[in-house]
Amino acid sequence: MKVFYGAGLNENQFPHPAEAASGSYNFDLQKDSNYLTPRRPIDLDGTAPNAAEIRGIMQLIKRDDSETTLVQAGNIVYKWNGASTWSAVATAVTSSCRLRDCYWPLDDYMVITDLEKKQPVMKWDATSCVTMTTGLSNSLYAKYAVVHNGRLWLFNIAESSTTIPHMALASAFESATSFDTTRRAVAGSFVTGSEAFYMLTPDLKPINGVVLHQQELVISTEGGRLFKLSGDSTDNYAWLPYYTQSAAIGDEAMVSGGNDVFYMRTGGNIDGLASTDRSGDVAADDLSRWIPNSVSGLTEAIAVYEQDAQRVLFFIADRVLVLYKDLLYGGCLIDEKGEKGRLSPWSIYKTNLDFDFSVSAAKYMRQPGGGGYSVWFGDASGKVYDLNGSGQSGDGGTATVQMTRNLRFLSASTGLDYRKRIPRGRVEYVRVGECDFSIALQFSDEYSESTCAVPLKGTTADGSYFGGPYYFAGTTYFNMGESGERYLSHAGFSHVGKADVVTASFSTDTNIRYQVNHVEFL
Amino acid sequence: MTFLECLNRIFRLNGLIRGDTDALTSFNQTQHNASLTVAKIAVQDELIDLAADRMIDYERTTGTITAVAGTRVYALPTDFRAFEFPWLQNSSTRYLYEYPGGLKQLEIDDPLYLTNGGDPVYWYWDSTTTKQIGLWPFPNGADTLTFRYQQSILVEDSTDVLPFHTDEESYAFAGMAARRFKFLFEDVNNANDIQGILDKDNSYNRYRVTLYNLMRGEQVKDGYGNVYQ
Repeated sequence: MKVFYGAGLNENQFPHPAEAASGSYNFDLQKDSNYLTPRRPIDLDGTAPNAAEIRGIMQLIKRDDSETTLVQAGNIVYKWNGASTWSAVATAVTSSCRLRDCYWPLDDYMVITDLEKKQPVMKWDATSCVTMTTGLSNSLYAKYAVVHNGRLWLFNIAESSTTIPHMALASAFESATSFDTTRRAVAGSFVTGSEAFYMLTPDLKPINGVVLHQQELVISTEGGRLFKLSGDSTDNYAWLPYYTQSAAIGDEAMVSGGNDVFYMRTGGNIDGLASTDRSGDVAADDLSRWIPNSVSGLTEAIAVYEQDAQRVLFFIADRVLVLYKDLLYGGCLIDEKGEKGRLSPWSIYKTNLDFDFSVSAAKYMRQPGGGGYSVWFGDASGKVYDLNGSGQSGDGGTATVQMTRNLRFLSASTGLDYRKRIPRGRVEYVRVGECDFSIALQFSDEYSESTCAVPLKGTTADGSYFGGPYYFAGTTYFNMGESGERYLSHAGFSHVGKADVVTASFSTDTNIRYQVNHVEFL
Repeated sequence: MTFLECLNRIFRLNGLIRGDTDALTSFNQTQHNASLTVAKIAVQDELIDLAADRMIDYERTTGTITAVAGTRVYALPTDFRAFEFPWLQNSSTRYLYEYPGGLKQLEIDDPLYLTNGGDPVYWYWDSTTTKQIGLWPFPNGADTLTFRYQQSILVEDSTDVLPFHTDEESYAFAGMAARRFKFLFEDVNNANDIQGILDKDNSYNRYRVTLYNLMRGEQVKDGYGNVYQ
């Protein structure tokens, strides 16, 4: 029996052999691939000078493609170059706020809102970070901001000390500095139709999520419903019911994933809007149906859509839930014949670093000072990490990446009767780096576990030609084809034990990014 | 050849080590958990069978017993397995033979053997939880008794050396053990009688005969009777 790794975590009773059983974490999944590889290490890219909690990460990319990245660490907002250069651009923000960004293209600056509504709406133009002019006499606070139909929209607001969580403000047409909290859309008195206005959620519940999805502006109300905006002028803007039983929770647990909207609802389950829209509230729309244990009881998450990797991340306390869209929609490769199955598209990331993925801000953005895109987040001590690191020394340069992938039970019904034969097998892997690949079998009834540490080889020494690495004065003479880089290799193993039923567990504790193609049990 | 080298040869003969799979360098490696355990058993079983079957040179060694006045029973060395010759030799080069009929007969012949001291003439088995011998009559003076015995040749640690003089002998032995390992390790349709399988196995028997021939230390005669030229 060959075990492939094309599918993700399934915490239900009978996962497919290609799926990872309950307790698995820190493995990556790939479109149209079924090999096992650990997640990338988390790189520590910088530490805020005040070592305060990272509560906001924002980025402005202007029309001229110049980029500035702001990081809120406690009560200071820094401009950060992606490495060790930090310069404070705002030094007296409320330390408990959580700043978020929204690009206003017309005037080429970034609007900054606060999920805690303790910091008035600000703007950053790559030079200064100041409170934004709103046209209102009082300070304006807002949780969310988006640009839609030529206006800047603010959601879940407070004016001065008056909190109006179910209100959305739309700026005047093509003017982000003009708001009006007295004129309501349609009902108000408008002259040109370009004036600013406000709207209230139909169910009068606080707005807890806003996404732009396929040309539509969709909002969620707390434990309530989803609405989409209809209309195109002050005369006809209205919220139309989209889904009345969404019951979304959290402040940042709703995100547009390109082709769908993903959100967490009461109880912690994660739903997709497309299937909900198509099928209603059925089990099939519960995208987290494969990981009921991991999502049970969740009340908050920071959802991030990682566009280039086509995956949606949910940062929750002590882990990250990783949804691979390619696998969700395209199926998982389960064997070597190209067969695919509708299996779990989930992985879970954990870390041995102290912050344990308990974060207050995470953002998919361009690499500060660079060109690639990734996801950055910060911890409580001012450290900013790149989720898709390339370091050779593990998470943060100090902690190895521990990977565990459990396999459902093996028994005579799966063609393996370990009452009669000794458990043994073979690992097929690609030479990347040297590390031990542990295969543990847990034998039922005996209550015993046998672990084989199978050494995976790395690349061999540089080429030796005609008896020496420096023949004709160089290792590259007649090329260096003997390095063994990414050679396909095999290693055998055998376990001590005897039982009707065994479960297997594959694990590593290393900084090496290895690749195991499959494990064959004989 | 060390125990570890022998196991690697067994693994190679059975195809467990080939290609990318490296030879074992330690018994602490867990990669070949089961095969390592089973191969150890195969080697040890073959050695025990060999030692029980005949005396092999590696077993030969000499021991001494320091007789003390008034002490009747003496422990044998911990690696003692059997006497090569059933006698002891005292410092006067006099042989002490085993008491005919052993302890049971001695108790009949000399009911006072526990209290009669003198110059020992015989030895007899008086083992309890360990192998030990008694002297009759028990000594009334100090003496040193020497004897030749078969020591244990069982191997336990990876660096233990197999009890053979040459590589040829060691390889032939590894071949035998490899066949035993094969039938212990592989699926034999739940057959219980591994020795029965081995007895019918040509390869096993060939290795065994080869080993015996090599251990003879002289050329095997290729004919009977006198050769007239």
